[in-house]
Amino acid sequence: MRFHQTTRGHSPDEVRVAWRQFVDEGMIDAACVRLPIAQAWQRSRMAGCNPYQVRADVLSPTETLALIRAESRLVEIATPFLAALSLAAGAERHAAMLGDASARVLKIVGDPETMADENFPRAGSLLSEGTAGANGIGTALAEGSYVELLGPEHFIQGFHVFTCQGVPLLGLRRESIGVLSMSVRREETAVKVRDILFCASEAAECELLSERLTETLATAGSQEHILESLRQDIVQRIAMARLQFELSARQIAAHTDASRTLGAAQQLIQKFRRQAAVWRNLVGQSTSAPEPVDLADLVDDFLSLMETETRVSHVHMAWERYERPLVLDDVHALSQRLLTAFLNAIQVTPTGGRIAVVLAKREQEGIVMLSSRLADGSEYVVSVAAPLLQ
Amino acid sequence: MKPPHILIVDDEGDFRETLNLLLSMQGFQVSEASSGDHAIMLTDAGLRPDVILLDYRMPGRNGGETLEYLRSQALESPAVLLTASSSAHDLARQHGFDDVLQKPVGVDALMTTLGKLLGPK
Repeated sequence: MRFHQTTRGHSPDEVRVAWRQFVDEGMIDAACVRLPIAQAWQRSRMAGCNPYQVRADVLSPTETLALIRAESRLVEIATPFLAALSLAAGAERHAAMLGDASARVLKIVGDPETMADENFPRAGSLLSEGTAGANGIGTALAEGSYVELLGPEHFIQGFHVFTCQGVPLLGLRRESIGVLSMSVRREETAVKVRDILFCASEAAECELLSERLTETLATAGSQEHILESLRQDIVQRIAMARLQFELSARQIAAHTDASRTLGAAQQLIQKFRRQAAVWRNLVGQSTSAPEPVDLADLVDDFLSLMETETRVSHVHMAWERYERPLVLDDVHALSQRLLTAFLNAIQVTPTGGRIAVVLAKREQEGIVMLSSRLADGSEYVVSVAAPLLQ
Repeated sequence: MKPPHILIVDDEGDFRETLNLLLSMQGFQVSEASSGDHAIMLTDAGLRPDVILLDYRMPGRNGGETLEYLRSQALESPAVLLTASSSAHDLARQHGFDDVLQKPVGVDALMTTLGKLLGPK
């Protein structure tokens, strides 16, 4: 959202007047202040935040070190993204920050002047709305989504020189596990880094998720080998997204258009997420009840997941007929049956061969049929069926 | 002075292309091979990279088999294994790689590793 949209066409000075009115009298000019900001101000005030405080609550060096150690994995994964965000901001005054789920700053990377400012938050600073008022870190966590605060939209007066953006980092169950934030002095810089900040948060989430895949592999049992291979193939997506992301940071720093590169990174991230979801359905024991499954979507995801496997095995998969049976089945068990069918088909098909993938409806079932020509000329056919959703 | 020459061996074209661009931005000369056999063809034709970056999981020869063959042909260029395998370090040791980087890998980690292998300029 742009400033003129976010403040409904009101200038920073007008918002500043609204801020003072709220701070002095507790009244919000709803025509002047965006609803999420008004709500953040209310939360800040109710939590007792002092709008004129100069420095954030900060842990001792020992406590900060302990905190960073406790969150070492998050810090390690986020560090290259912070570096790239800082690179993208270039010579502008800026700070790229990582916070934990409680709004404690874990790491900050910025220009030398900002880093030397002793009033600026640092590792160990608490930026919850209760202590630091509405800000890019605390408010992103409170809202559970991207926020942008322009100048006087910050609750604390000392932050009015900044434009801040924050995106929560979400775990497997969509819980907040941290937050990435950018603070800049000029709104133009915020516009410049907005898309890459989004990309950074998604890519960092995916890298954390990819580690969870490795942990989950321990429950894979007899299929561990193939699932490990597929896991590596999935990680390749996020590896490519990382390179695209880092390239985009350099393009932004060089004032060249990074939109295509960021777009490519986002597509890879979405592909990773889909493939990771399919992969997780393959691992471990089923505890799920039957649910509606679009068989065509599931097969699409399998074909995507098996891309590298088919390439390494020198076979080619092709849809021959295309229907969209909607079935009712345990998606874990169905995924397992599909995996077995695909792997068997790949194994028996000669090098250079073609595996036809057909979806069909037969009486009360949706069918996935895989067929190929064997070395002796005979036809190999395997099918997986699931009850049609009535 | 000629810039160091890096050979990227990976079957994923987009990955190679983007890595090529990033390394070129850092001042390296870069060549690409889409498979182990392609890398062998290039070195047989006289290519002598200063460092080889090898993916492991590829059609045909995997990265380890490719390196073993190159070493058998007396190619001494330091080789870095780029892999998402959870056994990355074991694979690297098994096949004689000089270093290993676990995917996803970023430019900073890559530069640190290349710096170590290439030595002071």
